[in-house]
Amino acid sequence: MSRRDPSSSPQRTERIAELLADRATVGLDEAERAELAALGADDDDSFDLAASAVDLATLGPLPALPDELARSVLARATSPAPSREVAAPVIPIRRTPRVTAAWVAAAAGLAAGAIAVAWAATREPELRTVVRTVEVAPAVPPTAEARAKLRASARDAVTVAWTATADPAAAGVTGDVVWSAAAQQGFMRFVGLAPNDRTALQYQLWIFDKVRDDRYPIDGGVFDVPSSGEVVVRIDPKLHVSEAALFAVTIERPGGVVVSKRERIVVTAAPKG
Amino acid sequence: MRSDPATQDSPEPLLTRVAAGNSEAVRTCLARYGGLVYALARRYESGGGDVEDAVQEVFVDLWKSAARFDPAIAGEATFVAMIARRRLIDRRRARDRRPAGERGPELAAQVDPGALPDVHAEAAQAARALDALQPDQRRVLVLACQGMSHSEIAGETGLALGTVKSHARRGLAAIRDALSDVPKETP
Repeated sequence: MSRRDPSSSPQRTERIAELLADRATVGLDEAERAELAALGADDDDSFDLAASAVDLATLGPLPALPDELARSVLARATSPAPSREVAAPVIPIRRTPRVTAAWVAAAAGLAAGAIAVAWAATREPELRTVVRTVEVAPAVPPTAEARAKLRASARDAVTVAWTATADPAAAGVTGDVVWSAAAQQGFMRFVGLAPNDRTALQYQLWIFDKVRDDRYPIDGGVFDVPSSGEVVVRIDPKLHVSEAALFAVTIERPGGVVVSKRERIVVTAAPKG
Repeated sequence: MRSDPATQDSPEPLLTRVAAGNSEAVRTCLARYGGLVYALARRYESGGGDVEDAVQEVFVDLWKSAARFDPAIAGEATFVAMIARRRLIDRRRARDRRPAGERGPELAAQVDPGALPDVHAEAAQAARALDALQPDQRRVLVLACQGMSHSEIAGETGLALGTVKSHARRGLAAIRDALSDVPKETP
């Protein structure tokens, strides 16, 4: 959050103003963001604040945030960085084992129809969580090296093989999930998972934590599978995972969701214990 | 700047306490600005689950960005609205479709600062600054801030695309300059 920089040539000032005005109203593409950064003005919030003030002046009477949505936001609230160790405000919610049971049923390899029935029984309330994008391993995958290093160095690291469901995207898929609770790090490895068109759909990881309400699994990130070969994806959960009970990957719309409709479960992995 | 009874006993701004991980401050923040974020999300999103998703994402951004709040630069509500706008604009660009949500009053000329539900100093100042703009410039700026693209505004107003961009840019600059005259809190 900073003020504008008054020192510039007229042309530079004009271009910065154009970019800042566009960012405040219609947003910038990657090239424009880079240009603004190169001009040294990407931390100038003045136009964004001006547009926001216009909002305040023109919104009129404000609606009330629906109670259920407010509770969901609070339940998902976490301590802002860098205070990650501070406990997040969480509203106590009665645990509902039937939700996890449905995911475990998926892990057992039930047919898609049976899974749909299981989910239909637990459709309310829906799963709500935060979205966090994780990086897909590049061609020469340092992520794979990091996975191997984690397995070698973390004493508590567990490796659990995926169980594929009957979803077409999971046909023939193998791989595993490596997770260290102590390090709060993990990796997903897939072989044969169907590549996705990220403009149409994306994969999303959900982590069920034994100490959290089953209805609110932790979002493990939205990711892409660029090829049908081996893909390693780093897990970077938004919230602290105390004791992972189940990892599940779903197919969601681009960008992921905060409320999964659980229509397409692809793979699951349940650590023992 | 107006103070809130809930924070009168605290020497620190609400968002500063949110940044420090104060869970009560998080609840207060949600209670105070939930309606603002919800209204903005309804403006940009098509409704239903999209609005809920957007609200969730905005508040996640807000928890992460709270430490950046500087009361010497802007008011708290303006900062929250800025965080919300950025997320909502990003979501709209990702969807690559025009917002179909609810829009607020279209013209700034209809705004009466004295009738605002929350008479925020910057909002009132912005409303006065809006009122001082030329009618075309004011209309373009308000439509742009409500989420319309430049080409959509050009189509609706009949103005040339370049004129629309110029009006938006100069209008924002005018509002920015007007806001710089608003007394800010000192940390």
